[in-house]
Amino acid sequence: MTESSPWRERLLALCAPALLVLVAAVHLFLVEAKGLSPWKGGGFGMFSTVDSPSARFLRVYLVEGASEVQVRLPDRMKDLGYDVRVLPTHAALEGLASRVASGTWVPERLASAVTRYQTLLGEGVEQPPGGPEVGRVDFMGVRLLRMLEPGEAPPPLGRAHVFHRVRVELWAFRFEPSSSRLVATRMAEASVSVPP
Amino acid sequence: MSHAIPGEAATTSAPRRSWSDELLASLHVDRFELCATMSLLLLMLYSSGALRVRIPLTLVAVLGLLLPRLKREPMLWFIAFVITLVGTFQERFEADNHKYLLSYWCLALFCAACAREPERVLAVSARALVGGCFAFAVFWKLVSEDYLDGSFFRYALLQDPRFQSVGQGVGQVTAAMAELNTAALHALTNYDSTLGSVQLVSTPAVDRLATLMTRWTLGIELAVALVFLVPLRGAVARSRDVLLLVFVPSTYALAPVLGFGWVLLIMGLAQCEEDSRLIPVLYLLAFVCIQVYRFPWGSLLQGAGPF
Repeated sequence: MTESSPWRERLLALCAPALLVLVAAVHLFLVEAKGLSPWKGGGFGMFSTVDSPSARFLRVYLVEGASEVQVRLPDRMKDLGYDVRVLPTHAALEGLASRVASGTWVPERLASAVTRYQTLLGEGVEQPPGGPEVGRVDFMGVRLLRMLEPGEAPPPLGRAHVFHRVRVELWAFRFEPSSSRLVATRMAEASVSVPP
Repeated sequence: MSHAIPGEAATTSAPRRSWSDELLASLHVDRFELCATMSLLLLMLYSSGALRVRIPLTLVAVLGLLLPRLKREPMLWFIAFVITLVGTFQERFEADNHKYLLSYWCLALFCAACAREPERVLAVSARALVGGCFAFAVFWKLVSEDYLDGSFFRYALLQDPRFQSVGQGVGQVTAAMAELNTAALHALTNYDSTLGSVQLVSTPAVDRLATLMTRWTLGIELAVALVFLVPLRGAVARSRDVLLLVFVPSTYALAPVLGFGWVLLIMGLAQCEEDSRLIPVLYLLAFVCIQVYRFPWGSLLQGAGPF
């Protein structure tokens, strides 16, 4: 075995701390330049601000002329939505809007657990409880739309929701100490047209 | 096979040591091995939720625990480092900060295992890692727009599930107030919301508690960062261990990120003075005892039974 020099020992001791400093420096840059949440990315900014990923949220609109409907992101796009909230680059926001725009949106089907179970049991496939005529579902004043799952049969003619543009807004709230209010502000926005 | 002569063993072999003597001996003689064992437990229990990381790391940890001589093998720690590094990189914007620290710690163990004096190299790495992560934590608190004025902890006591039990138990937030606050948050952030702001309900006790938590956290983190980064010797150097041993149990009682607590305690043990008798035992005790934080104490604070 060869003798280790003090320099080699020192270098070995400083490898891990150097990596920590390097990652934290990248984190600092991303927070300042790209809006990364200080909580994430290895910079040890957790518990230093309200501005965690959970304080950021998305508002997604399907736009047709002057009319627009707010929609909930499908579960399969939750990860993408999370990425946008943590590191809200314009490209990520636009990518999310494009994914929303490329989907087919139809009225949500509402059924009780018992109805759904009995329908599946009886017919082997789930049927919309209102039948094909249902073109719009309002639930307590909220227009309910959902994106069709991949491989799901297209809706009957005229049942898909018509829109020409998608707008995605990223919002963040902060805590206002004087009034104990959560105040939301829009951080970023992207808009894309529906592909022909 | 050797045959001992009756009466000879008592005069030639060392007297049997008590378990506490054994413990003290192992704490002082082979610090690297002890830290390695604790690190393998850490890798096994708190590495990652992703199976692609968790399974190989568990295998590495089990191998290291079953075959003790592997603990000194650089290859074992290099493999652990690569797995944690890749896992953390893949989840770089989701992973909590202690997953990064765990990865750096595996690198430190690898480097120490390659060194001629592993304990010494590990001690230097551990001290710099603790000092570094606390320095950055303090930096972010100082530059934050909403930390120094107490906003962060006021919000956390009212809304963060990790602090809500304290907000209700100590901050006198009633169940009805908590329900209203939760409804307010949902009203603001739900996908169909058009609101620009919502009102939370708070109490003077929350304000006082938030101020206390803000000052305490900043103060102790700043102190830990300073004593770990400034080269100190002798009795003053012991303040490192005292501060870290106060920080870990007090912090993780409220925010039970036990993986973070464990990695800090292992690093604390790795760097503490070699001639210290009591401090290593305290690190080891804290390592074991913070598991008690898994008990749902918060539900007791809120007046409900834990089961």
